[in-house]
Amino acid sequence: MFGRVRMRVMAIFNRLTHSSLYVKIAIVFVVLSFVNAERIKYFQPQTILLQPHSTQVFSVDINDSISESDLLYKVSSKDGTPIFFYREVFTPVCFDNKCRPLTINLYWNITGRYLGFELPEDEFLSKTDHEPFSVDVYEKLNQILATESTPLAEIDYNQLTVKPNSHGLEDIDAITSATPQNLAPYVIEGAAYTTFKLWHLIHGATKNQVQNFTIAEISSELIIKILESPIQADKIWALEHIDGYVDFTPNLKEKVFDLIKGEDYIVVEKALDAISENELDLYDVQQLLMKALIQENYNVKIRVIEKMENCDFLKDSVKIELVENLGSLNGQVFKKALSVLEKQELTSEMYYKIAALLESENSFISNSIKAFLKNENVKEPQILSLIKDE
Amino acid sequence: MGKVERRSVLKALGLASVGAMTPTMLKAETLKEPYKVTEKAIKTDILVIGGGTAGTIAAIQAGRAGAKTILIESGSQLGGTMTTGGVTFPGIFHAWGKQIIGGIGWELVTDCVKLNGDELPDFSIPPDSHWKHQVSVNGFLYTLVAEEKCIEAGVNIRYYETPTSVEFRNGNWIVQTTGKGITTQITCNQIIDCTGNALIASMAGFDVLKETETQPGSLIFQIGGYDYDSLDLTKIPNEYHRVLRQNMVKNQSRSSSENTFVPYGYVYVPGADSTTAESHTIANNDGRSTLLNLIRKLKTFPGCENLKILDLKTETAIRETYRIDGIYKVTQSDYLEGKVFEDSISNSFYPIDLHIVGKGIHQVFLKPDVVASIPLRALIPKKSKNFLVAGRCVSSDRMSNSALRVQASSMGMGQAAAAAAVLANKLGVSPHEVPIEDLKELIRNHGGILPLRT
Ligand SMILES: Cc1cc2nc3c(=O)[nH]c(=O)nc-3n(C[C@H](O)[C@H](O)[C@H](O)COP(=O)(O)OP(=O)(O)OC[C@H]3O[C@@H](n4cnc5c(N)ncnc54)[C@H](O)[C@@H]3O)c2cc1C
Repeated sequence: MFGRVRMRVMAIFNRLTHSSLYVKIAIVFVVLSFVNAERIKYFQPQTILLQPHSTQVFSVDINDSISESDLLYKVSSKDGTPIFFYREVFTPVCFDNKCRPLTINLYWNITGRYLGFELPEDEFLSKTDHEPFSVDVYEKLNQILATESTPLAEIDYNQLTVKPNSHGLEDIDAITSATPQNLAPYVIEGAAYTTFKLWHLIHGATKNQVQNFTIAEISSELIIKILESPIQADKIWALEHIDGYVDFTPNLKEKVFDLIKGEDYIVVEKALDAISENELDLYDVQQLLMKALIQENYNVKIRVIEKMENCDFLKDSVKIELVENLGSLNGQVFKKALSVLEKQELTSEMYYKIAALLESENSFISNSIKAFLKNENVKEPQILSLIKDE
Repeated sequence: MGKVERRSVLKALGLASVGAMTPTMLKAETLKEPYKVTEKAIKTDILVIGGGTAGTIAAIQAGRAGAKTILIESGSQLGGTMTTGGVTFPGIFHAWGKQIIGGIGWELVTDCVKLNGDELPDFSIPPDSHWKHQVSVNGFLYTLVAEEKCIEAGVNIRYYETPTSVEFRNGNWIVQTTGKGITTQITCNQIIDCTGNALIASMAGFDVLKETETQPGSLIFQIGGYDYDSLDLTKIPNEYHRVLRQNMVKNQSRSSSENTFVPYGYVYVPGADSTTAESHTIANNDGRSTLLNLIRKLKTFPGCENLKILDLKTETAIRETYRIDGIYKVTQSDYLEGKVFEDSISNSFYPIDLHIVGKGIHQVFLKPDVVASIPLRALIPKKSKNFLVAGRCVSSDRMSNSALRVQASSMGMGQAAAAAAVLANKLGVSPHEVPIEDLKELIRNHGGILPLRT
């Protein structure tokens, strides 16, 4: 089906004058059925779980190992939310001056993450010796293609094998005994060139194009949808595309603060990074940070208090809350809380509350408080008498 | 006053002052009492011995949790193998897209990274080579930051000291130490042996174990004065390529967050053992003479004529000496299966990584989503009281030890051991009697990440 669509699109496309614009054409039509059940297809979890409704096709400058430009299909839901992108690939896989055609559809999530592959009807992948891929091999291929950090990224095509042992088509993927040991987990044995080619298509220029399309229509609503993905990489992508990209709406704020919880500290850190400097001046943001500081575990607290170090002016009630909770903080979080307070103007009442911690049995706490109060040049006589050196 | 006039006045003054001072300066030399070794007796809650990778973290944790803490270090700075040994490449704090070791060790590492303007690798993507997620740290900064944090935590650091005897009397340890011009009797309630060699455990009479053949030590250095990319490697024997290549990378000057090479070069020192002054001296002698011969050899290769040594660590870094015989001994299969025990108090993540001179490194990798863990019992010598260890001398078989010993794991052990010592001191019990849930809470409250039981 995709092949027919492609021909129609190409015919129209060829009649149009080429423009240098990055997106050259867009045609919308309804997808009758997205995937044919009989085809061989392997997928990763989808970022956006909406039903496909329509497809747009774009001619884009890609400049990868296949072509300088190609058609990229964007599949959207009924409400126009982009769900995924795909490309119909037809390319030779060559080795030792012999080539074998590869026809496959490659899919990307809207975050640029690899989504999956699908073979046209009656097509299957096979190894050098024509042995068709088994289910296990397809699954391994799906996993290999989903792996971002792999030695395939750093080597070139010619490094894949050292052994051109015979001639003819079956040699195309002849790596059986020649694949260096360290590459073995990252390629399909007997199909190393196909694996290499596919991996580079997936993680090459198209990935950026896909991300650019998403960024072009990014909105806080779309970010919220991406943040709902169970996949960490999607969350991180969305969090990295908030500050400077979309409005920090109340709904988005709620979603971001939901992520400043729990034990995935990589996500916690990214969520905090998503809060812009300007937002830090807002009362509700300061309150939400304080709440996280009080309720979450140490590894969240430390990241939250580091964020609060960037607040120039804390609202009074937030300052009071921080002062009142100082005694429950530990280690570096406690130290950093003092350095947050150091930047703020404090009242006499706050100083007295802080000075109460001079009584702490924990000398790390009491000594730190003493040093803090000395540094603050407090005028309160009772405090002065407590902090004077014997 | 005119110029000439002023100069002559100054000259006169100068002469006058020299004349006036000479007799006093001559008189400044006085006859001193003959030198006497000072004797001191001090008391503390917790005594950490060895201010290396694990010991520094243990001391900070104990101090921050409010215990009176002394840290003895026989060298002149903190960090041990990380700084004095030059292995400024702590790993591994993250596994399978998650942080698995946090707390004080991570705090020190990230403070150094920030202060040095370095970048952290992207930990969300599991790397194809495990060491790509180790963190390159400026060792000089690490030394400074570690010392500052110890002092802030109220830790009494004592450099240039080593224990000469330890004895458990009436619920406390009496530790006799000797250092430059001083002998000290330290009475403490809990000891944490972080010497890396289980020396204090052995001194206290607890069993320690050692392989007949241990992994080699390494003397770490850096060379320059040549351009690796323009060398004609066909003219240089293979065995020298690694050493020429690894030294290209200075850990402080990475431009990307990815490590591209392990950031240190080294020569192996077979049989290196740092347990005693004598054995460590031999290890240093051996390492230095091997290196000197290597430098001489390298300079004979085309393109290496101007090769220079740019940095040399002050001592041979040690991989393997003694381990305690603990209440529990972690095995290779525990490690590879990611076994989580009731009393697991820290995670560990690294391949089994055994260096064998002439044969390379034997490595076994953890399967996806597997993270190993360390039970408290592996930090406590059998039949001991008020005694813990942390770091590479953890009770473990040889294979699991080759993974457990790495820096992030040693730091995690240091923090957990100190938390156990603090509670034991408070409750007047031995570390293995501490209520495990209270211990876990204390560790968590100071940023430690506890293994998850599935
Ligand atoms: C060459 C080499 C490369 C390595 N590579 C890596 C790597 O890339 N990443 C990684 O994470 N790990 C690596 N490791 C492992 C890791 O660095 C060590 O296992 C770990 O640092 C050991 O920590 P520790 O606290 O047990 O011992 P150390 O850090 O060695 O600390 C022991 C401290 O105790 C002091 N001490 C010893 N005896 C006494 C005494 N009698 N009295 C007072 N003080 C004493 C020592 O001076 C030292 O400061 C490597 C190790 C080596 C040797």
